[in-house]
This record gives sequence, C-alpha cells and structure tokens, in this order.
Amino acid sequence: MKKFLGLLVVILLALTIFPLYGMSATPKYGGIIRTAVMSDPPTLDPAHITDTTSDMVARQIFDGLVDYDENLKIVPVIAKNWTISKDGKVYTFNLRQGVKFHNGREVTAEDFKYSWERVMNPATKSERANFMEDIAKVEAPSKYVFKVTLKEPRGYFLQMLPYSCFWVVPKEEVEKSGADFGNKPVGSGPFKFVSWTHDDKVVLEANKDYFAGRPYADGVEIRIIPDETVIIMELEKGNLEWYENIPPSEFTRLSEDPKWKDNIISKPELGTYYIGMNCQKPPLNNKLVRQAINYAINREQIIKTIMRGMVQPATGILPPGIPGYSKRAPIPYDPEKAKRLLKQAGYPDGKGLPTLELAFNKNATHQRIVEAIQADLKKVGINVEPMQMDWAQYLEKVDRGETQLFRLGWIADYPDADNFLWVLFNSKNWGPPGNGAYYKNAKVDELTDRAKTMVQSAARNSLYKQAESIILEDAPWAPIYFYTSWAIKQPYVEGFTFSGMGPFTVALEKVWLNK
Amino acid sequence: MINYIIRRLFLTIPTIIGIITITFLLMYVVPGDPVRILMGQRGDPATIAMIRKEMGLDDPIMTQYFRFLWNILRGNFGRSYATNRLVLPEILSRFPATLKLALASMVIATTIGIGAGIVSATKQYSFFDYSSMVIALMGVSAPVFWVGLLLMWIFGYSLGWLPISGYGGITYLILPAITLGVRPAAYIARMTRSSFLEILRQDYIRTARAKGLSERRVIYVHTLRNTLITVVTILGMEFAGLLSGAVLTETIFAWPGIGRLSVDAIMKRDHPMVQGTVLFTAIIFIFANLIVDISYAFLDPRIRYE
Repeated sequence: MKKFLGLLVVILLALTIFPLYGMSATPKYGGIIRTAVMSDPPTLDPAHITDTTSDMVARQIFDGLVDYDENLKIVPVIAKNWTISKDGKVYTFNLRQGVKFHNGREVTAEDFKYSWERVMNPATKSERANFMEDIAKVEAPSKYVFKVTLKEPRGYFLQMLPYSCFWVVPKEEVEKSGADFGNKPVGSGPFKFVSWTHDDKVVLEANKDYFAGRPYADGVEIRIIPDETVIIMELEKGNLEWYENIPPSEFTRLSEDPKWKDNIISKPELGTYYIGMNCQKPPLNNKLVRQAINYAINREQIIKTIMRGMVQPATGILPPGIPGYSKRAPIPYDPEKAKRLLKQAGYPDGKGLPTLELAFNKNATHQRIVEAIQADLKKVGINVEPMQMDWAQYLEKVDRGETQLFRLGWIADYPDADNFLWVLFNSKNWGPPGNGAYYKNAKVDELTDRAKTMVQSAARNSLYKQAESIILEDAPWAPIYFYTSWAIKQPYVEGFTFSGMGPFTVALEKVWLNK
Repeated sequence: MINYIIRRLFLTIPTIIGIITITFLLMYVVPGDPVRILMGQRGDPATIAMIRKEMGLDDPIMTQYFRFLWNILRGNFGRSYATNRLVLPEILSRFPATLKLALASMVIATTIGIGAGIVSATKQYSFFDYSSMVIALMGVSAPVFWVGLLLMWIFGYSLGWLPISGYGGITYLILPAITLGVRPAAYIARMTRSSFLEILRQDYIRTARAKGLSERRVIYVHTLRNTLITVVTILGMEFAGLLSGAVLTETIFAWPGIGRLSVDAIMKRDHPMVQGTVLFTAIIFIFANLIVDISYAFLDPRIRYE
C-alpha cells in the first residue's frame, strides 16, 4: 500500500510539473526585436508627437508618470503613487527614487516641471500644447514630489497622462540638441536611442540601468517599410519578430495558416469609423435625411466583404472598452424605413434630393467602403458622388465645413468618453477641434460640459449615456464600425502584450525571444 | 568651349529663380495648411495660430518669398515643417542611396539596352530581333511596382537568394536596380535599334563597306559612335530623372532615397522640404543637360560650341 501511495504521489507530481514546464519557459535574455512601421516617424521628441508611429518608437525611449495596463487601467511608472485633492483639482505625485535618464542623471520632480512647461511654452511650438490647457500650475515642492493644480476638476486628467506630451525629458539634453532633440532623443525608458537612418531604420539598445530591470532583448530594430505586402513577406521569411497590423487582403490567408493562426493577437480598439454629415448644410440639416442615410447603409455587408470580418459593426458612437460605453442594439439595415424617412422629409423615393458629395481621403479601403455606401444609398434614392482627395486638402475641406458627407475615423487620444462626446459633438468644437459635422444640440453641449468637470463616477457615465442617445437620435454621423487592433508575431516571441489603445503601446521591455 | 559653359552656367540663374518662384507660388495656392497637418486629425485653433505665427506663415506672401530667397542665398534652406530637421542635410543624406540606385540601374539599362539594340539592328527581322523588341515593348509598358513585386516575390520571398527589401550592401541593390533599369533598358534598346538602322543606311556606311573595312569596324566605329548621340540624350535625361528619385521603386524596396522624401514633403505641404527637393532636382537636370550638350561635341566633331 505504501509503495502504491508513493507511486501515486510521484505520478501526481509529474502531472503537475510537466504541463507547467511545457507551458511557460523561463524568460531568456538576448536577441534583437525587429519590427516595421510604414512611415518614417516625423519626430521622437515627446513635445511634438501626434502620430502612433512616432509614439510606438518613442515610448521605448521615454517614460511618464503613469501608463495603461492591458485593461486600460492606470498603473504607476515613474510616479510611485499619487493623491487627488477632495475638490479634484490638485494631483500630487510621489516619484520613485533612483530612476535615471540615459545620460546617467537621476529623474526628479524638477524634470517633470521642466518637461510639462516646455510643452506649454509657445516657443516650443508643441502641437499638443492644448493638452495642457486644463493646468493652472505645476510645482516641484521637493526632489521627489510633483504637484499639478488644475483650473477646474477634470475627470479624465489621469487618463490623459500616458500621452506622449506628458513624458519626462532631460533639460540639459534638450538644450544641447536644440531643435534636433527629436532626432537624437535621450529619455529614461527601457531602451536607449542608438541611430536613425531616415526612411530606413531606427536602432535602440537595452537600457541596462532601467529602474524596472533591464529589458529581456538586447535591442530593438524598427525598419521603415512603406508597403504592407512587403512587411508581411519579411515577417513570413523570419526577418521581423512582429508587426502591428494585418492588411485585410492578407487576413484570411494568415488566419488559416497553422503557423500564424495562434500568433495573431486582436483586441477591441478605442475607435469608431464613420460617415460624418454636415448638419448645417441642406438637405443634411434635416434630421430625417440623416436618419434615412443611417438606415440605408448595410454595415454587415461592408464588414464582411471589405473588412473581412476584422472589425465589429458600430452600435453607437462610443466603442466598447471606454468608460461610459453602453451596450446598444446594432443600427439596423432597413432600406424600407430609410425610404419612409425620406418621404417624411419631403423627398419621396429621393425625388427633389440633390446629389450629395461624399468626400474621403485617398486610400484603397476607404474607396471600397465609400463605393459600397454609394450603392446602398442609391437603392433608397439618394445619389452620392464620391470625392477623393489627398489628406491635406481633405482635412481643410472638412475643417471649413465645405463637405456634405465625409469619411473619417476617430481613435481615442485617451480612454474617456469626453474624448469622443465633448471633442466631436460639443458645438464649441466646430471645425478643426473635432466637430467636423458642425453638429449643435444645446442639451448635448450642456451634458458634455457638465460631465467634463466631474470626477470618474456612475453619475458622470450616465450623463455620457444620455448625451450619446441624443446624438444617435440626431444622427450627425452614420457610425460604420468599431476598430479592432490586430498584431501578428513569430511563434517564438513571448511576453507580447499591448493595451486597448492599440499595438503601438506594446511594452517591448517585457518581450523575450524563446529560441 | 569654356566660354560656352560659363555662358550656360549664367543662364541657369534665371532658370533657378523661376523654378523657385513657381514652386513657392504653387505651394502657396495649393489647398492644405502644413500646420494643420502637423496637428493630426484634431487641431486646436489657438495652437495652430500660435505655431503659424512662430513659423512666420501669417506674414504677407512677398515677405515670406523674399525671406526665403535671402535664406537660400545664404545657403540656409530652413527646417522641415513636418520633422523639424534641416532641409539640406536631409536631402544630402539621401543622395548616396539615390546615386547608388541610379548608377546601378543605368549600368544595367545601358548594357542591356545598347547590346540588345545593336544585335537587333544588325540582325534585323531575325528571331532575336523580334523577341528582343517584344520584350522591350513589355519592359516599357510594365508598371514598375508590378515588376518590383514580381522580382521580390521570386528572388527574395520564394527562392530566398536576395534580401526582400531594405538598404545595405550590394545584395540589397540588385533587385531595385533591375526594377528601375527595366524601363530605360527597353527604351534604350528600341532607340538604339532604330537609330542604328537609320545610320546603317547612310552613304558613309556604304562607303566604309566599299573600301573594304571589316563589318566589325563598320558597326562598332562608324555606326555605333553616331548612334551614341541619340543614346546619350536619352541616358542624360533618364539619369537625371533617376537622381531626382524613383518613388515607386524606393517605396516597394524600402530604399531611403530622395523620391520618397519629395513625395512625403508634398503630401504634408512641407514647403521648405518641397522647395529643397525641387531645387535639387532642377540643378541636377540643368547639369545633366549641360553635360549631354557638351558630350555631343566629343561624339560628333561637326558640332562646335562658340
């Protein structure tokens, strides 16, 4: 019996240990993580970053007070912890000691004060200076305490802080490099800048003194390859470790390939693809026409045939995952209802309705979507003429309200409903600040203004829910789909994760190569 | 000859000023604000106004124009609006990659083009003549991106003999150089053939043959040299074109050349970078034209420049 029990224990132990052994190996140090981006980053200076390509590269070099975790929860980085005053206006961050810039100097509260004031200073010409407009003052009361006072409480303030303009830069390096700081950046992040051959590659090396421990990889090489077909070829040949996107044309093939199907990672992204409608221009100033357009678009078909099922049909303005999101029924495809609404608006079968311009920026996928919408609208009697433009010209036209229908996508700057509902629908933001539909509803203005100053709470979310319902009823947009992030990696790449903001937020210091 | 060159160089000054002025006006009238593009999709009007003021974009057009001319005279091309990098070093840093690609593709184009052209002409209506001219026609018609992707797929992806894309040693150069060389090779082959055939029918060729010169000498000395005038004209323009960038080839093969830089600058309404790349291209074309004109005198002793 004793012998039998002994054997049983051995078997049980083996069963317990072996699966664990097979599942997760000990992380290995060494190797270079190679990836690609489609365009040369415009800059690596946190004060000037506005695009995700620059952000992805620069976030390996720089750190901020806080960051998002995989579930978009705010987690400490250089800030050890923080307190928020009762009135929601004063944020006091206690900084970690011993965090060092790549030049060896310790990061202190003065550095944060300098970095943030640099963004606010007009001489810096920071494109994100307005992200600081809620701040009354920044102070460094002691070496490791950084204090921020807001003009008014802002429920989303902490959620904004992972944005690049809030990262810390060393004053002496900025002053030494001057306008070229964005070309040879020095930060305190997990990787150090080594070289940058424009339109070719950016090379980084592991920061062995990183406060959270050295990264597993020895370095990172980010190649600039403008064609996604070529990027996928390079990945398949083993020349890249991962890539932050999968082109729809390659999706079916890769997702069915046994080598890749388990190495494709997807997450809902905080973004909505939509057709905007200029609410000030006839006939789109008529709510019924806008509603008819919403019912006439076959979203499921667009997603199935053009997007290969890589995204989810939009059910509202706010994408899932954002605080304040409320689950809603899908916007139905109902051409008959669209026709009824048109009739009610005084355009039976579209008679008397002028041809509407549908503007979009040059891109093969946008073009296919626009053409599908054109065909859908034609079925209910709405004639649409697609107008293709380059981005610069397009943006100007939308800003000036010179478009009737226009295609755009909005991806959150920070995970908060304010970044959608206030930015894109408050009438203070007509034109360039975000409200390209020139939409105005006094109740929406009031709700979004009020929610802006409230701290994160159920009451605040309920205001956003009300505002979103009104907006959907007014239909200044025809939301088409909610974005989904896709990334693809080699089977030997371990520890690869990114936040709901998108694959550009990948923490490469946690990635290791199991080969 | 020296006087001619000096005179031609002086004549380039008004040409360059004209090019600068036209580019400046074009960038001014074309829709799209460079600062607005910098902001991304959402642009805060106050921030846009602040940056435009700092960049001097709100000044009257004449002030901006003369400031720009004055800066250029002092060798200051300014900084890119989009990247804040100095324009001239940025263009010059791309030049080695562009030059390498242009030279390699011209060597391929000239060797194949002249070779195929001569054989086709001397063996007119032969199988080689027909097949090489059909291939040349395909070469002229085939889109660059298609040729590039096909070569990449065969030799990089499927066979793995050469790198798929990127910038580096000679192995990285082969596929883009062939891609870029195909069209000029086909063009040169067709022009060499027709020019060769025309010269072969000249009286002086009949005379050369009548006086008993070997066919080899007739072809390589008497005919080829006269054909070269046409070929050199094409070569000059093609080479100048390649030196100002080959955007499709550079894009497919991720080659960091001037073509990508210029197109990107135009898309972003990056005025200083557009001015810089246009000026650079103009100077290359002016010098290429000058060199072609001078080479005529060496190739054809009847041509003299006073």
